[in-house]
Amino acid sequence: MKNFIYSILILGLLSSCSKFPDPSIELINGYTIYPYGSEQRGLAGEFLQDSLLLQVSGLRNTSAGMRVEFSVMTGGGELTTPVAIVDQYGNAYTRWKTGFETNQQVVKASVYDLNGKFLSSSNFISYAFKPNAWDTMVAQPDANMWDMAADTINNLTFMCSNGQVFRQTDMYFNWEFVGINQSGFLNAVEVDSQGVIYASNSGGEVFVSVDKGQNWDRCNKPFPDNPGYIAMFVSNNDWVWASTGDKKLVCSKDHGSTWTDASGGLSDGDGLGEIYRHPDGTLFLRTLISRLYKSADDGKNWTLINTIEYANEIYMEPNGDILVYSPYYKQRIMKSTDKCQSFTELYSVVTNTGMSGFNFFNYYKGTYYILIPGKGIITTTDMIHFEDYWNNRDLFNFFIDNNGVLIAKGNQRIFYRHNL
Amino acid sequence: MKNKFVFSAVILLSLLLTSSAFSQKLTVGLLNGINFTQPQGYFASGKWEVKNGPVAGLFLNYQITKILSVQSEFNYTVINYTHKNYSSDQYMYYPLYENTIYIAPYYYYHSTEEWEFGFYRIPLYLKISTPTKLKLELAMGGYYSFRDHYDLPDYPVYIGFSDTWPYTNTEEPPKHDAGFFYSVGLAYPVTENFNIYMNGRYFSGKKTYIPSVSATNGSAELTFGFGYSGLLKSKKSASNPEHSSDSASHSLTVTPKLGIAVTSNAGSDNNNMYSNATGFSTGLSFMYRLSKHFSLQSELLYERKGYEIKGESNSFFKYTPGSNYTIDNRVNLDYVTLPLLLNVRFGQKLQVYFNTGIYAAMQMNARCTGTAYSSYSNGITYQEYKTTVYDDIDGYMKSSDWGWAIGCGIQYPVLQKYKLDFEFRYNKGFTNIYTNHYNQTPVENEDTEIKNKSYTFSLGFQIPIN
Repeated sequence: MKNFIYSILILGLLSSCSKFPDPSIELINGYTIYPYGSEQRGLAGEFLQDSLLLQVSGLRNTSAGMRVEFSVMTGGGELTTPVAIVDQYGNAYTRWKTGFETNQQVVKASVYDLNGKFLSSSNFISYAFKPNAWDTMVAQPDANMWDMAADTINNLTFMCSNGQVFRQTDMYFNWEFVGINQSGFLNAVEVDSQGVIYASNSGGEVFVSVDKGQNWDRCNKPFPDNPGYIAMFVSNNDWVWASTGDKKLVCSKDHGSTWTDASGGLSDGDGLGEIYRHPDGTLFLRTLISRLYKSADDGKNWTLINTIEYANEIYMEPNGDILVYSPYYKQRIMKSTDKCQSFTELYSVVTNTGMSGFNFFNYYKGTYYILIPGKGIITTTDMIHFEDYWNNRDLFNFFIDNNGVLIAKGNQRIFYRHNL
Repeated sequence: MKNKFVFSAVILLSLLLTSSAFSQKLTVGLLNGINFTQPQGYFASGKWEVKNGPVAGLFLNYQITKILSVQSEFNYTVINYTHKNYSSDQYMYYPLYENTIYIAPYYYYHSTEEWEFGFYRIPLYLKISTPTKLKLELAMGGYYSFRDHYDLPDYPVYIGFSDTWPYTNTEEPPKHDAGFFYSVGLAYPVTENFNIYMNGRYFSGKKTYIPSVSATNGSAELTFGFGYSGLLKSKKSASNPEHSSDSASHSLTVTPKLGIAVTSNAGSDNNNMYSNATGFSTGLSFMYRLSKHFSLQSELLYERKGYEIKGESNSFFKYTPGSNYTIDNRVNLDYVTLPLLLNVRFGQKLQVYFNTGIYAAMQMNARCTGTAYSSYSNGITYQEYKTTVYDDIDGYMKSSDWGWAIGCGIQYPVLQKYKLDFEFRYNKGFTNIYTNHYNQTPVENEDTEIKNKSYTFSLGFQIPIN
């Protein structure tokens, strides 16, 4: 009997003990799927420059023979190879002719294994640009464009974005990096009437290129003791101006080799905005605190102009007439034909917004394109009749490249319009 | 629910207090053994591995009646806890460039955490013993302990980044603990004054020693010992208990039993995912005869219940809508069960009986094991994983259950006074044992109810207690 009881107890004990494997996770199959050729830009209705390549790499097994289905999701374009087989190198290709339906277009590539089981999908994105329409771009580098300068002599356009300088390629929506041997954050680019290009950075340095941006030289520092940002502007007489943001203003008449003080008569906070030289030799300065000054001695001494308040930007026409953007209670465009002794209001609008902006006045082939923050872009040919060109309340920066392409900046995006 | 457990234990105890003889025997002795430790806490993931440690001490037993005694000890034990996390040689959900600078493991998580505590313990408990030469002993009481040394694990170290930050747990665990003590064992007199013992014991602490999972001490132990009972022995107790007469002769029986069970989850709304699992039931059944046909029956059983789950789910142990995993898992729910049944029997030599009543159960383990397959894609990778599932899921299961039991069986006499017992029993739990301890918001159609159900076939050997 005892043996029986012992057997029962031992059996009970043994049966209560069971061994299971320890917890673990094992990768049993896997592929990396990477799209090459995404983010291309091209003209709507044309093939993108490069093929779309989907590379499928097996982590345990080969991917050769797997099926990739390409399909247009948005934009309305066409594909040369909707169904491609992964080759021995893990690649599947197709070519993409973009459509006209949307600016940003998407092709989806779905990967199926040898048994037809769906594994994963990846998207290719392209940007198709249409003539005579505004196209939106949220991709870099231009989405963060901050400054732009057009060289009408050499038909070149440069921009500053993300602290670097880029040059426009033969397609107005493509930009190539311009290498400048410097370590700061480039925040301004300017071009004079002879095609000499200037750029300044966060270290208070100015760089100059006389060969379309191929080579850059470091100018003498405008303010040797200043380690920070400077404002830089090239006036219509090709002098280069720089300021530290307060009343310190210098000028170079020799492409940045030497700098002379030009701050006589300026007050605290009178940083550099714009400077134009009147045909009679008088200089007009707009400062960062919206004041207007004039100088009859090439900038040695400045005299405050009290005939207008809140001058946010000035622009001088070839005949010496001065246009001023002045948001005083309302968005106003003022004009002076007597060297700022008096101003006439040409245009005004109430926008119910506190938005400010930059580069309000742009001129191309007889037409002024004027940015009105909180409203959009208006046009005029005679400064008498103004027309709404594009109502977009988000715009705050505006340029025209050397080919007349309108480039407007909104919040985290850029807008292009190529008028044919 | 624990009150029901105590109530049942008291009934069992009162059934066995059938003698009023005062033997007044004092026994001192030594015990040695090993523990099988597993903390009690709100576990949700990974394996809390059963670890071993030593147990050694002295005990002192004072016999109050022929079957009731009070006993205390002073013992020392070392408790080790080990938690095994899901280990992987791959950085999960990240492009797996096996042949580039991302050399596995790019990201590493400690796969094993270990704790160690030393305790001096003083249990005090009541023991009831059968008045037979080979004594079956049951004991229950409490204990107080003093922590000695301790060793805590370091927490995860991340490598592959510029910083590594091994976080060392420096919080000192409690210096004292107290809790409950349970024991079942055998005693055998090798001479008139010397007995040898073998016991299965369980210590259940109350204070938290692993804060991350609110875990308290739990230690099952197997001990062996011997005792000297020649101290303070009265003349009355010198007689051999096997030859003493007892007014309760043959009215009380004990039946060691072992059975297999078919168990399932009776609470789910998604029964197509759940299927039966095979479990077991083992322990002792005590029967007190009230009349020729009626008996009161109570038992002390260790039972494995649970269920199997198969299909697509977002969790391993129950149906949560989603296709994150394709699982083939088994959930084991181990209980110490105390039924209280009314037994009706008919027949002379071959007896047929029916019983029914309620049961209370204390959960000892809740565990999910099996396999889960999952795949992941993010546009640049597709990965398939096989997960070997081993989760202690005590944190998702209530610590107790109760329900209704009904059964029938036959008994056939063998060797004159013993009986072979065959029984079929149906158990139905009334409690939703799933507990949302972590206050997770259920998704639509997620199972939030799990109930135990089992059919048990058992074989026993009934022994009359004289």
